[in-house]
Amino acid sequence: MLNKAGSKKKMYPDMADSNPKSKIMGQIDENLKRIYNETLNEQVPDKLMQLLDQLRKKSDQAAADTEGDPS
Amino acid sequence: MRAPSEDPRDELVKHLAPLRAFAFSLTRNMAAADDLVQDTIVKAWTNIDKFTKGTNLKAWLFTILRNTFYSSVRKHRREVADPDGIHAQSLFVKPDHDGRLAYRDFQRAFDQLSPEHREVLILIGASGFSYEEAAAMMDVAVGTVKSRTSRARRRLSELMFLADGEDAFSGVDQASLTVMGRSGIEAA
Repeated sequence: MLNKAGSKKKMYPDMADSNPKSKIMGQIDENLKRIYNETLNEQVPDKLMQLLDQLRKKSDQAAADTEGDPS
Repeated sequence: MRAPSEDPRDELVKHLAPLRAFAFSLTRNMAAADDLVQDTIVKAWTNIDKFTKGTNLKAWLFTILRNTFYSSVRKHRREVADPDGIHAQSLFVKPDHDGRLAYRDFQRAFDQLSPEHREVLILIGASGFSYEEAAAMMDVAVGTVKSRTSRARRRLSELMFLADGEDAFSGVDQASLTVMGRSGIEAA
Protein backbone atom coordinates (compact mmCIF):
# COMPACT_ATOMS: atom_id res chain seq x y z
CA MET A 1 0.00 0.00 0.00
CA LEU A 2 2.84 2.36 0.71
CA ASN A 3 4.10 4.41 -2.15
CA LYS A 4 7.75 4.59 -2.92
CA ALA A 5 8.16 8.09 -1.59
CA GLY A 6 11.13 7.16 0.53
CA SER A 7 13.19 5.81 -2.31
CA LYS A 8 13.73 9.02 -4.24
CA LYS A 9 17.32 9.77 -5.02
CA LYS A 10 19.18 12.97 -4.44
CA MET A 11 18.31 15.63 -6.98
CA TYR A 12 21.80 16.58 -8.04
CA PRO A 13 24.07 13.68 -7.18
CA ASP A 14 26.67 14.76 -9.72
CA MET A 15 27.27 18.17 -8.21
CA ALA A 16 29.81 18.68 -5.51
CA ASP A 17 28.42 20.05 -2.26
CA SER A 18 30.93 22.88 -2.39
CA ASN A 19 29.32 24.17 -5.57
CA PRO A 20 27.28 27.28 -4.62
CA LYS A 21 24.61 26.36 -7.13
CA SER A 22 24.15 22.95 -5.62
CA LYS A 23 23.96 24.57 -2.19
CA ILE A 24 21.19 26.82 -3.45
CA MET A 25 19.42 23.85 -5.02
CA GLY A 26 19.75 21.95 -1.76
CA GLN A 27 18.24 24.84 0.12
CA ILE A 28 15.44 25.17 -2.42
CA ASP A 29 14.57 21.53 -1.82
CA GLU A 30 14.75 22.08 1.92
CA ASN A 31 12.35 25.00 1.68
CA LEU A 32 10.00 23.16 -0.69
CA LYS A 33 9.78 20.33 1.83
CA ARG A 34 9.12 22.87 4.55
CA ILE A 35 6.26 24.45 2.58
CA TYR A 36 4.78 21.01 1.90
CA ASN A 37 5.32 19.64 5.39
CA GLU A 38 3.76 22.63 7.12
CA THR A 39 0.38 21.71 5.66
CA LEU A 40 1.07 17.98 5.82
CA ASN A 41 1.57 18.18 9.58
CA GLU A 42 -1.53 20.25 10.21
CA GLN A 43 -4.55 18.51 11.61
CA VAL A 44 -7.00 17.57 8.88
CA PRO A 45 -10.20 19.63 9.28
CA ASP A 46 -13.21 17.78 10.74
CA LYS A 47 -15.19 18.72 7.65
CA LEU A 48 -13.04 16.39 5.52
CA MET A 49 -13.15 13.54 8.04
CA GLN A 50 -16.92 13.92 8.23
CA LEU A 51 -17.15 13.84 4.45
CA LEU A 52 -15.54 10.39 4.41
CA ASP A 53 -17.95 9.19 7.13
CA GLN A 54 -20.92 10.47 5.14
CA LEU A 55 -19.71 8.84 1.94
CA ARG A 56 -19.18 5.56 3.77
CA LYS A 57 -22.63 5.66 5.35
CA LYS A 58 -24.25 6.45 2.03
CA SER A 59 -22.42 3.62 0.29
CA ASP A 60 -23.23 1.13 3.01
CA GLN A 61 -26.84 2.21 2.96
CA ALA A 62 -27.00 1.87 -0.81
CA ALA A 63 -25.41 -1.56 -0.62
CA ALA A 64 -27.85 -2.62 2.07
CA ASP A 65 -30.81 -1.34 0.06
CA THR A 66 -29.89 -3.01 -3.19
CA GLU A 67 -28.42 -6.25 -1.93
CA GLY A 68 -30.08 -6.65 1.43
CA ASP A 69 -26.65 -7.48 2.78
CA PRO A 70 -25.21 -4.77 5.01
CA SER A 71 -22.11 -6.66 6.12
CA MET B 1 -20.10 -8.52 0.82
CA ARG B 2 -17.30 -6.03 1.38
CA ALA B 3 -14.07 -6.92 3.05
CA PRO B 4 -12.98 -3.58 4.57
CA SER B 5 -9.28 -4.20 4.16
CA GLU B 6 -9.74 -4.72 0.42
CA ASP B 7 -11.67 -1.53 -0.21
CA PRO B 8 -9.24 1.19 -1.29
CA ARG B 9 -11.80 3.74 -0.09
CA ASP B 10 -10.84 2.78 3.45
CA GLU B 11 -7.33 4.05 2.66
CA LEU B 12 -8.47 7.51 1.62
CA VAL B 13 -8.28 8.88 5.14
CA LYS B 14 -4.52 8.31 5.18
CA HIS B 15 -4.10 10.56 2.18
CA LEU B 16 -6.11 13.56 3.35
CA ALA B 17 -3.08 15.37 4.79
CA PRO B 18 -0.86 14.87 1.70
CA LEU B 19 -3.77 15.91 -0.52
CA ARG B 20 -4.20 19.13 1.48
CA ALA B 21 -0.50 19.86 1.29
CA PHE B 22 -0.50 19.34 -2.46
CA ALA B 23 -3.72 21.33 -2.91
CA PHE B 24 -2.33 24.24 -0.91
CA SER B 25 0.80 24.29 -3.03
CA LEU B 26 -1.43 24.69 -6.10
CA THR B 27 -4.00 27.14 -4.74
CA ARG B 28 -1.91 28.96 -2.08
CA ASN B 29 -5.20 29.55 -0.34
CA MET B 30 -6.27 27.18 2.42
CA ALA B 31 -10.03 27.49 1.94
CA ALA B 32 -9.66 26.81 -1.78
CA ALA B 33 -7.32 23.91 -0.97
CA ASP B 34 -9.86 22.30 1.34
CA ASP B 35 -12.59 22.69 -1.27
CA LEU B 36 -10.30 21.07 -3.80
CA VAL B 37 -9.58 18.15 -1.48
CA GLN B 38 -13.30 17.77 -0.85
CA ASP B 39 -14.04 17.58 -4.59
CA THR B 40 -11.17 15.15 -5.03
CA ILE B 41 -12.45 12.83 -2.28
CA VAL B 42 -15.97 12.77 -3.70
CA LYS B 43 -14.65 12.03 -7.20
CA ALA B 44 -12.34 9.33 -5.90
CA TRP B 45 -15.09 7.74 -3.88
CA THR B 46 -17.57 7.60 -6.73
CA ASN B 47 -14.98 6.49 -9.28
CA ILE B 48 -13.16 4.00 -7.11
CA ASP B 49 -13.88 1.22 -9.63
CA LYS B 50 -11.47 3.04 -11.97
CA PHE B 51 -8.64 2.63 -9.50
CA THR B 52 -6.45 -0.39 -10.21
CA LYS B 53 -5.87 -2.19 -6.94
CA GLY B 54 -2.25 -2.65 -6.08
CA THR B 55 -1.18 0.54 -7.85
CA ASN B 56 -0.26 3.78 -6.10
CA LEU B 57 -3.42 5.21 -4.54
CA LYS B 58 -1.70 8.42 -3.49
CA ALA B 59 -0.59 9.07 -7.08
CA TRP B 60 -4.09 8.32 -8.31
CA LEU B 61 -5.60 10.78 -5.83
CA PHE B 62 -3.02 13.46 -6.63
CA THR B 63 -3.86 13.04 -10.32
CA ILE B 64 -7.56 13.59 -9.65
CA LEU B 65 -6.74 16.63 -7.54
CA ARG B 66 -4.50 18.35 -10.07
CA ASN B 67 -6.89 17.62 -12.95
CA THR B 68 -9.74 19.06 -10.90
CA PHE B 69 -7.65 22.10 -10.08
CA TYR B 70 -6.66 22.83 -13.67
CA SER B 71 -10.15 22.34 -15.06
CA SER B 72 -11.52 24.75 -12.47
CA VAL B 73 -8.76 27.28 -13.24
CA ARG B 74 -9.57 26.99 -16.92
CA LYS B 75 -13.25 27.49 -16.19
CA HIS B 76 -12.92 30.46 -13.90
CA ARG B 77 -9.64 32.03 -14.96
CA ARG B 78 -9.59 33.73 -11.63
CA GLU B 79 -6.75 34.65 -9.34
CA VAL B 80 -6.41 31.85 -6.83
CA ALA B 81 -3.59 33.38 -4.85
CA ASP B 82 -4.28 34.94 -1.51
CA PRO B 83 -3.03 38.54 -1.79
CA ASP B 84 -4.41 39.63 1.55
CA GLY B 85 -3.52 36.49 3.38
CA ILE B 86 -0.66 35.44 5.59
CA HIS B 87 1.95 36.05 2.91
CA ALA B 88 1.20 39.73 2.52
CA GLN B 89 1.96 40.22 6.19
CA SER B 90 5.54 39.21 5.75
CA LEU B 91 6.41 41.63 2.95
CA PHE B 92 8.53 43.96 5.00
CA VAL B 93 10.09 41.49 7.33
CA LYS B 94 13.83 41.37 6.97
CA PRO B 95 15.29 38.04 5.97
CA ASP B 96 17.52 36.05 8.26
CA HIS B 97 21.19 36.71 7.89
CA ASP B 98 22.31 33.39 9.20
CA GLY B 99 23.41 32.08 5.83
CA ARG B 100 20.14 30.37 4.98
CA LEU B 101 17.64 31.39 2.36
CA ALA B 102 15.05 33.34 4.29
CA TYR B 103 11.93 31.25 4.41
CA ARG B 104 9.55 34.16 3.99
CA ASP B 105 11.37 35.34 0.90
CA PHE B 106 11.21 31.81 -0.36
CA GLN B 107 7.46 31.60 0.23
CA ARG B 108 6.96 34.92 -1.51
CA ALA B 109 8.92 33.74 -4.54
CA PHE B 110 7.08 30.42 -4.51
CA ASP B 111 3.73 32.24 -4.54
CA GLN B 112 4.74 34.11 -7.67
CA LEU B 113 5.47 30.97 -9.66
CA SER B 114 2.87 29.59 -12.03
CA PRO B 115 0.78 26.73 -10.63
CA GLU B 116 2.50 24.42 -13.13
CA HIS B 117 5.88 25.31 -11.69
CA ARG B 118 4.69 25.01 -8.11
CA GLU B 119 3.18 21.66 -8.95
CA VAL B 120 6.28 20.12 -10.44
CA LEU B 121 8.52 21.46 -7.68
CA ILE B 122 6.30 20.05 -4.95
CA LEU B 123 5.81 16.69 -6.66
CA ILE B 124 9.51 16.21 -7.33
CA GLY B 125 11.16 18.26 -4.61
CA ALA B 126 8.88 17.74 -1.64
CA SER B 127 6.30 14.99 -1.89
CA GLY B 128 8.74 12.33 -3.00
CA PHE B 129 7.39 11.27 -6.36
CA SER B 130 9.80 10.13 -9.05
CA TYR B 131 10.04 11.86 -12.43
CA GLU B 132 8.27 8.85 -13.92
CA GLU B 133 5.41 8.99 -11.42
CA ALA B 134 5.05 12.75 -11.87
CA ALA B 135 5.04 12.33 -15.66
CA ALA B 136 2.20 9.82 -15.42
CA MET B 137 0.24 12.11 -13.09
CA MET B 138 0.77 15.16 -15.28
CA ASP B 139 0.22 13.17 -18.47
CA VAL B 140 3.43 14.43 -20.07
CA ALA B 141 6.76 12.87 -21.04
CA VAL B 142 9.42 12.27 -18.39
CA GLY B 143 11.70 14.69 -20.23
CA THR B 144 9.06 17.39 -19.95
CA VAL B 145 8.89 16.90 -16.19
CA LYS B 146 12.67 17.19 -15.96
CA SER B 147 12.90 20.33 -18.07
CA ARG B 148 9.91 21.91 -16.33
CA THR B 149 11.49 21.16 -12.96
CA SER B 150 14.74 22.82 -13.88
CA ARG B 151 12.95 25.83 -15.39
CA ALA B 152 10.86 26.14 -12.24
CA ARG B 153 13.99 26.03 -10.07
CA ARG B 154 15.66 28.65 -12.21
CA ARG B 155 12.58 30.87 -12.07
CA LEU B 156 12.40 30.46 -8.31
CA SER B 157 16.05 31.43 -8.02
CA GLU B 158 15.47 34.47 -10.23
CA LEU B 159 12.52 35.54 -8.15
CA MET B 160 14.77 35.41 -5.13
CA PHE B 161 17.42 37.40 -6.96
CA LEU B 162 19.81 34.51 -7.06
CA ALA B 163 21.50 34.31 -10.41
CA ASP B 164 23.05 31.04 -11.48
CA GLY B 165 26.06 30.23 -9.38
CA GLU B 166 25.78 33.37 -7.32
CA ASP B 167 26.62 32.95 -3.70
CA ALA B 168 23.37 33.09 -1.80
CA PHE B 169 25.06 33.09 1.55
CA SER B 170 26.51 36.55 1.75
CA GLY B 171 23.03 37.90 2.28
CA VAL B 172 20.87 40.01 0.03
CA ASP B 173 21.53 43.72 -0.04
CA GLN B 174 18.96 46.21 1.11
CA ALA B 175 18.20 47.54 -2.39
CA SER B 176 17.29 44.08 -3.60
CA LEU B 177 15.14 43.54 -0.56
CA THR B 178 13.23 46.72 -1.26
CA VAL B 179 12.68 45.64 -4.85
CA MET B 180 11.62 42.20 -3.72
CA GLY B 181 9.14 43.74 -1.33
CA ARG B 182 7.71 45.89 -4.08
CA SER B 183 7.55 43.09 -6.60
CA GLY B 184 5.72 41.05 -4.00
CA ILE B 185 3.12 43.75 -3.70
CA GLU B 186 2.77 44.18 -7.43
CA ALA B 187 2.35 40.45 -7.87
CA ALA B 188 -0.32 40.45 -5.22
